[in-house]
Amino acid sequence: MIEINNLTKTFGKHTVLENIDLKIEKGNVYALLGKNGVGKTTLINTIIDLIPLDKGSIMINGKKHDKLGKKDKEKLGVVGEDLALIEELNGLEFLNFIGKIYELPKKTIDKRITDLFDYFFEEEKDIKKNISRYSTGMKKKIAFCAAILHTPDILILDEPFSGLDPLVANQMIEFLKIYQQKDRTIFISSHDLNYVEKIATHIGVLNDSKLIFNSSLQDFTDFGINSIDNALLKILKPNTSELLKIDWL
Amino acid sequence: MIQYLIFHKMKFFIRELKNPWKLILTIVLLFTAWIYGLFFGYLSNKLSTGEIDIISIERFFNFIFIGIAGLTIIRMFFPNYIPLKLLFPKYYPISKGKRYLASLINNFQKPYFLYISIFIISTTYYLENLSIQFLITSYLILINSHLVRRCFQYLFDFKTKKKDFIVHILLLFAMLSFFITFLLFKIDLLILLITLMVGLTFIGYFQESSIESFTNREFKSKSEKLNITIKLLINNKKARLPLIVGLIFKSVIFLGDFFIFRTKGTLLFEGQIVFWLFVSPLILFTYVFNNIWGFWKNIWLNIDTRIGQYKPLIWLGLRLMLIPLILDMIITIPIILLSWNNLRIIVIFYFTTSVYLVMLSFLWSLITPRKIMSIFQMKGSTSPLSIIAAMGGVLLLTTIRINYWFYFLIPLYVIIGFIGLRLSLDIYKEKKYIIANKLMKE
Repeated sequence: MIEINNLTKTFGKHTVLENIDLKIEKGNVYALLGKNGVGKTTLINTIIDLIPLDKGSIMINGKKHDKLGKKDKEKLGVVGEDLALIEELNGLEFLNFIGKIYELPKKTIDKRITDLFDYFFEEEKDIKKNISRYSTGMKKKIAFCAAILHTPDILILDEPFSGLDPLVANQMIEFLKIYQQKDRTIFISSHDLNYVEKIATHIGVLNDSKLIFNSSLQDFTDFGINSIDNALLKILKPNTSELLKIDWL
Repeated sequence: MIQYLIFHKMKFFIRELKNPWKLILTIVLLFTAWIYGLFFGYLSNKLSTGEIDIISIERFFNFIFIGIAGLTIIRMFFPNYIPLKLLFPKYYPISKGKRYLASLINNFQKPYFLYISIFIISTTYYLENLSIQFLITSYLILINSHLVRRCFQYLFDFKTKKKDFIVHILLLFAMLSFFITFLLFKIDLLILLITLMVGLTFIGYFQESSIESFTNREFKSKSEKLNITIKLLINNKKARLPLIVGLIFKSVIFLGDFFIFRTKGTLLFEGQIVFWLFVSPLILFTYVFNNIWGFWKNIWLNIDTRIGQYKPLIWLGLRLMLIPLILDMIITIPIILLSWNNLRIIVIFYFTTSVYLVMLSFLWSLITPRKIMSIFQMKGSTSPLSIIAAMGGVLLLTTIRINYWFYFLIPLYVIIGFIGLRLSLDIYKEKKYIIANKLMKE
């Protein structure tokens, strides 16, 4: 469970996040939506304690996020904006390295890597290739595999579907649907509304440094009356009047 | 067929040199082997003329022979276990003799034997006396120790019938007793080695012909850690080149000093403080390791977001430093030994500065990280503060040459190192944002 209370984060004079209150219960899939540069990644980096917060608190499974011990941290799985891939290694070595960080038994590591590889990759040579030679989609897949290798209770994914072809994106969604069934919490920040709609149980919309919407998917779409993108446009109200001023179109 | 095997192996070796890194590594190793030969030859001459009187020449040669034998046997296990391979499957229509010969040739065509041969030839070349005897003895020891290694590996790596296995053990025991008897009666070393070689070749032939199949032994996991560390070093372009340049720079300076010493009898940097900066492994730290997470950012990011501890990062950092430090030591020690008689000061200086630099590097990497944008960046790859502290520390320790009183600095340096390391562990949680802020911003 993730609980954010009154979170404020500023960079110099610029307030990126202001008085954010948010609670994600066990078993929920929370999708954070918003325009580019609105602070979604900052919020994620604050939750995973890469950025210090200025005000407020973040609790993860009832403990302060910056006081988590090794065992508490191990309950988190993250695919951040920076995929944190160790490009000097090949996919197999990287996943082995990650498994060893969590001190998983060798047999468990081997079994999980084989299963994940069978599901996400097509050719055996892919996993034995150096990560520096991977395509964007492959990098995303291997980062995702590394995030779930230790089956964390809380999964935090920053733009997990960008750069993936529709087939793989759907594969990932099916995977997440099953993953969530065991009362696990998933927090996603994404622009891919079609994919979000398939998996999210709750939606948050970040705009002008504030969380302007925070409720269930049903509330967001008025129980399916609106599509998710129409619902988002309704809330964000994009300014199209400027378009009329471009007379050379 | 044997000629084809030799040709094929040589062709493969040459083809591998198309990879520039393999080529550089081969040249560096050949060069190092030659330099070591030069050093040992030079030292042997000094010993035989009595100019240096630490050890007798015979004893010194014995140490070299033990070194050759030890290295040849140890490489079976280190850095990872290399199993003995069957060149041809059992059903392949080839005589037992040819099968064994091919296997031996295949073994002796490994690059290791090239490097060790260069070392032996170089030592022989620079020796003024006893050179042919040294050459023959060294080669016999090299061959014998490799044959001993093979004898044991046959027992480890292949299955044989019980009866044959017992015969193997008996033969090895017989060989050992023969060896001890000869030693007790102080029979000429050359005769002993030739007899041993014939005996071991016979045992090897018997073992090769009694192989049934492979065992299912797996050794991969043992070498995994080392392999990953090597890959992290070799495949990181931004760290690899400064490290290579640093080591080459150091070698060139020492080599220049050595040649000036040989021709003029004086040392380029003798008495000059600047030389001592090169004696320590300082260059590795001011180039790379004082900003270790800048060079291996994603290792830091993975460990921090996954377990949030600094201790595992320190262990990983030490693993990354190990190979460059060993290389630095290999470059440093022989040249220093040649140039200076005061071995004690140099060894103490080298190891004290190493401990100081290694331990403090984790503190600098935490509090003064730098984003590495290119291989050699104009603003420097480590912080000025860390460079000043490292250089200052190294220079201050040179005072141990002036007066014995300054030896009190040695425990002080170790204590400072420990305090730095402890401090980095204690302040990690509050200072790690500096790394995130510096390394992750666009």
